[in-house]
Amino acid sequence: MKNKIKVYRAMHDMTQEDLAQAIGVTRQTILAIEKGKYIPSLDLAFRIARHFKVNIEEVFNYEE
Amino acid sequence: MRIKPNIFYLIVGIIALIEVGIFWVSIELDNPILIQAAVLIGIIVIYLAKRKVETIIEDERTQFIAQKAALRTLEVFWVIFFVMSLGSIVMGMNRPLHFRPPVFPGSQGSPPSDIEVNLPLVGPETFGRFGFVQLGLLCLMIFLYIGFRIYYGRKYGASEADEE
Repeated sequence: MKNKIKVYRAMHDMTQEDLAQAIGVTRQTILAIEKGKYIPSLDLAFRIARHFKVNIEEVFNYEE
Repeated sequence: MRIKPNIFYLIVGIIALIEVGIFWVSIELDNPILIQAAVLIGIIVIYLAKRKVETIIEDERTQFIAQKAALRTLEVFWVIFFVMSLGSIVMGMNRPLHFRPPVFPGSQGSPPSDIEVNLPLVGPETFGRFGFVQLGLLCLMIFLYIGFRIYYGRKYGASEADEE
């Protein structure tokens, strides 16, 4: 699972801490998702996408 | 009133120190209820304090890590616990279990006055030894859990130094 959270964070001028607080998780979780170490739940993935006001598939990309 | 995470960890440390003190007092006074009540109250206070922490210290990733670590701990621990229990049962079965009082034929069930009867000692000493074994197993379980937490924390997490 690849994602563009880092890109969207940069576009919105947000730090990992800002995004973490905005969606109610720890900064380490944002970091782990960005690095692909942790795959978020659907609920969290939707929350992240909605925060950036984009569709979920624009942020997350599933690759076999 | 919200508290900072560092204050929460300080509270946990202070409670742990107080518990050690109460444990000692409990032994001195020979009062097990004291330490049992103190531990229960301490845990309740920690849970209440945890709910007052202002920043998020728990989320779906930490819960996922905790679940994985707990499952692995259970998988390993039940084997150890089973082996320990089997060993204890074998040791116990090698001796009279004394589930029933001894019967003395020909003396209406009571022991003759010239025979010394040594019944097994089931008193505070036995419970004390049992407590040490239980505490040892509990410590093992905690070490296993912490080890698995660290392992899964690294697998599904990232280090603090990666902030940008």
